[in-house]
Amino acid sequence: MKRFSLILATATLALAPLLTHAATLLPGDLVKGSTSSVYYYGADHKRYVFPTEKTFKSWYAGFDTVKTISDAELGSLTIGGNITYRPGLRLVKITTDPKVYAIGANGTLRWITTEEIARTLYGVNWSTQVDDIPDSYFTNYHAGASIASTSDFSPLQETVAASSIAADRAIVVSPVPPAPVTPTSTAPVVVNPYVGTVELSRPTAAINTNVNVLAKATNASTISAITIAFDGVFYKRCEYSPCSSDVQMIGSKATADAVATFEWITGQKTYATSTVALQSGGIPGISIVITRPEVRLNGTREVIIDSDNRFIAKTIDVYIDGYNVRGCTDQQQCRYAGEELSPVHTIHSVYAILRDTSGYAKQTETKYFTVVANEHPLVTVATGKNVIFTGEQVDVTVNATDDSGISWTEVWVDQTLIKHCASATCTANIGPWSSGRQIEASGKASDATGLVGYGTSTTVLVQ
Amino acid sequence: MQHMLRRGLAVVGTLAVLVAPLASQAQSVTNSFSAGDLIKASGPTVYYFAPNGKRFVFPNDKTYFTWYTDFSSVKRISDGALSQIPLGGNVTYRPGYKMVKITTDPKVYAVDQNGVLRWVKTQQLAESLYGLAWKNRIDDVPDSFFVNYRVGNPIELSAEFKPADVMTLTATISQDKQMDETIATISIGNVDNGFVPKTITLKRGTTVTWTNRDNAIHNVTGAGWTSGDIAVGAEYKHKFDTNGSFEYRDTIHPSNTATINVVN
Repeated sequence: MKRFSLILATATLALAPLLTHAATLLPGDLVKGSTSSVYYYGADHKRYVFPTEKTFKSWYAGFDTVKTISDAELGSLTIGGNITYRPGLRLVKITTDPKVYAIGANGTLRWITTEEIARTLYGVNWSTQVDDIPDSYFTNYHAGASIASTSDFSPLQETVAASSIAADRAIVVSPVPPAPVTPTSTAPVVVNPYVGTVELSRPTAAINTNVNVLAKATNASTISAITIAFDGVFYKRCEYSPCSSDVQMIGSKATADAVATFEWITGQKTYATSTVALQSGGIPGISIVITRPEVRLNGTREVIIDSDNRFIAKTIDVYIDGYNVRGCTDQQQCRYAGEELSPVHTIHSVYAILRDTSGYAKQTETKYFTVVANEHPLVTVATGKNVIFTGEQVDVTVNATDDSGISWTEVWVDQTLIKHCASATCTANIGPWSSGRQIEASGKASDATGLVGYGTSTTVLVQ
Repeated sequence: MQHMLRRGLAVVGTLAVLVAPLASQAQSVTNSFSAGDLIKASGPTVYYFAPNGKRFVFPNDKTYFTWYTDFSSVKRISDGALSQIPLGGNVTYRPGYKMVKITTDPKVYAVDQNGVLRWVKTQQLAESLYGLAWKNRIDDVPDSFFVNYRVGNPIELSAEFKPADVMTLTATISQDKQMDETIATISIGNVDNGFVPKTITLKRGTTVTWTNRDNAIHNVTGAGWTSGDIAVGAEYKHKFDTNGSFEYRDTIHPSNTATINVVN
């Protein structure tokens, strides 16, 4: 239980660590958490591990410059790799192979083919400068050209060229740098007088529908950041209060928790939780579709009830907020459309009651739609096929509609952006795959006002 | 077995390599081993000998015991022979066997094929994958071995990852590393060590690659076939399509002889 409660906090930091404190970590700093392990903080905002003390000492004389950060902040930094020896300084070997190697740039091993070369390059006492690398760290290095003559390698030049770990490794800076984290070793411990709350737009939700989560601090000026997570998945981080995010109900469980983490300017953290229950899946054969889950004032709201031949409907009655707004007779489909006149933020409930000729009645599940000032784009995702074979490709089409007009659409596959289009429709040809797996395709679109909507993902099975 | 350096602000020194119990030291030295065998020399470290002719390191005992229950199948070879076999990399956890995390990040991961880590996002997921006692099915991987793994897609639904199925699909380390199991590789070492391994048993249809890891020219000559000169660092391949025991030698260094046993 403890482990997963920690995960929420970390996931939020890992995804959007936009802290606003002044003292920050800089690329090239040495950093540690509450344990003794020291890491190198790279320009790519990842931490690099020193696998052995000797590796550390080839780069640094001591631990004076190490900065301490919180364990949560340390955990939020991805591990980028292991640091290798500084080039030129030492000779290395593994215990089970007598070959002695000099170190070149970025962990290149250069086999010194004869003892004479070792003596010329590293002096008569060269054998005292050989370190054994544990087998399990040998893979951090890679083989380079052998040193067949003394002119092939200059220890001094190699060391000078590798003036820092950054210069040696050529760490690539990621295009979107997560903000630096803050040393917190001096954070004061204050009894927290602040309270945060979570409100849900509705207590129940059907599979794949959205619920709005509103996280509020009682005193907004004392808030440092609010993060919203739902069902263990990070959604949003705000540096103000209130913080609002639409979250999606996943169908695999009966309830899911919306958790808001409040970080106060004092450094304290508090949590607030609210639970959403999954709505029952409805009645087999009878579907209720709200064409637009978000409607503008004076826009058109539309509900479509369909019954397949498992239930022969004599009458279908559509109810909005408990009032019968439409009745259909002797039809398997009943459509209701009308002008939306309620104020913005109103949430309407919709259900229908179907009766057969003998008077036997069935009520559909209840669905909801919201009146908004500007609706999110409605995004649909279609795949050419649902089952493909390895080596085969498939088209993914994302289509978006919005009253404000669509400014762009995107195709995403397995959380990776595949294609960006400056139009309302975007088609990408994906694949082929070499092994069987499930591909998850989804879509994203923005309307002309910049409001972004997401499309329900569809799955393609690769056989 | 895991030994942390704790001198003030020590570095992450987990100098943990799997070591076999001392009892197996008494074992006699053999020249005969094949792809998929566990090998060790006079030192305590145990390696996995892979079809590509390289030895793979178990970074710690926990990794070893995800694949093997004991050390009974480890073959003892000579130090010279071991030194002729290059290191190939580190063995990762057997997929599906356990979940892992690193000490400095609370995320819990399931292990998929070839060292791919998949974040188990929720407690419910962990329970459905590994049962109510899922907390007992998590090992800490030292930070310095995290680079042996790659982080893949998180697991969203329990249907995406079935530990028992994943384990069944990866019965061997070669399968986990997606190596071609219809090949075998023999190192040609210096005159002292000769061919490594000297005796190897293969399945019929296996292609054998000899790699010259010495700094002199060698050849491989059997009854009715020969490689010609194999330069330093070069390779020669020969496929074995009939059952039997085949002797071959290096005619440049005639004392270097070896045997290939081909079985069904």
